[in-house]
Amino acid sequence: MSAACEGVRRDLPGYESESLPAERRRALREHLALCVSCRVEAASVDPVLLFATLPAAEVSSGEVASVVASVRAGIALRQAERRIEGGPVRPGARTRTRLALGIAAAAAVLLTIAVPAGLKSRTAPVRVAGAKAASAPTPGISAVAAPGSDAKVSGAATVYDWNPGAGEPRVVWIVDGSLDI
Amino acid sequence: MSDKKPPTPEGPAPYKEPMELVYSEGRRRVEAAEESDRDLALQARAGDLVAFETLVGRKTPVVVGIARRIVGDREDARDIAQMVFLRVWGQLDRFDPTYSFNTWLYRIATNLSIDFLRSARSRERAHGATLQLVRQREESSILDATRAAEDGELTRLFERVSHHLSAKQKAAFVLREMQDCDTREIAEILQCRESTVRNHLFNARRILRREIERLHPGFFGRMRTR
Repeated sequence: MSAACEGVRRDLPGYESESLPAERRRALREHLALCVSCRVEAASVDPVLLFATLPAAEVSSGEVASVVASVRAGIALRQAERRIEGGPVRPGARTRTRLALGIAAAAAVLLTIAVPAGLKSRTAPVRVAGAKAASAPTPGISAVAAPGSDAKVSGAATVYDWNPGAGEPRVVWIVDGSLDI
Repeated sequence: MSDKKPPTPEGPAPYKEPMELVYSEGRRRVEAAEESDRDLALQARAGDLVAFETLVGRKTPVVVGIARRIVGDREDARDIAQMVFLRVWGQLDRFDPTYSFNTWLYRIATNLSIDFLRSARSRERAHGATLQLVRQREESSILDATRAAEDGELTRLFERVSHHLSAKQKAAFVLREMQDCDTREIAEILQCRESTVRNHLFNARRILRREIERLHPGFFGRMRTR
């Protein structure tokens, strides 16, 4: 029995108990794959150790080509669907588009609420459900507050208050990534 | 009449610059083959299909390998690999380049394989009686223990006994023993704690040992005397 075989047989219990360092673990597996007598010894210690010598599942070049072709066809189909919908065709673009649409829709809803209030009185604070709006608004953009627990929008949303002053209507909008329209 | 003279054989060339190759897909494929997984993923995220196809070609063997060991069927594994890469394409904007591309890919491959295995098992339960008959016939053929030392038989033995593992135990075992992932990486892939991975591995080994002993009582003792 060679010194390598002796070393491997000493390491078998450590392999089984997951206490071997990665290098010795790899060396043991490589040795078992080549050495029949050590493989038999390993199987007698613990038959599960034999599975460490299982070769990687063979994948032919034809199978690889078939997967690549199917993936290419799948991507082309998705891109065609997005073109028909009028959306962007880059990977993952739909997620960003939906997020942007969500924010835009939320802003539109808030504009509808905020503009009449701003026209009525430019000093009156705009109330958003659950948000602590500034009591004395000054011109400019400010992040008002995250909505409280009674808010109907998600806790991660931020409410912005834009007060241009000079008699212009105030605008309040919410940025909330969790909205999905 | 124009005073511009037509070019003559002795005169200057009609074009100011020699013709330049702006883009060649073949050349792009050769370049892409040299690039790292991370770079290819970033280029694919920007819409480069050649980069993505290179990545698919490079990673198909390992993805099919993982799926094959988890679901136990070559055809199913190939179908899963296709789904994995389509999902990767759809989620490329979520890929964080500060992390390993392989870990991210293995996570998607493992999750889809586990989902597939779970749905296949629920289908099996739906018509269990028929399958029980088929399995008994398979069992009698696999009990020919003298063939089990060969690689093909070892693969069949693994597929047979690993049927008794939960999907997560099987995935952890495959990633540990066949992909040589360490427990920290497996925890990232399976999105659980490292201690949970160690538990999965411990239980997987215990169940495999029990099933081998049940199917092949005394077989490994015989193997020693060959």
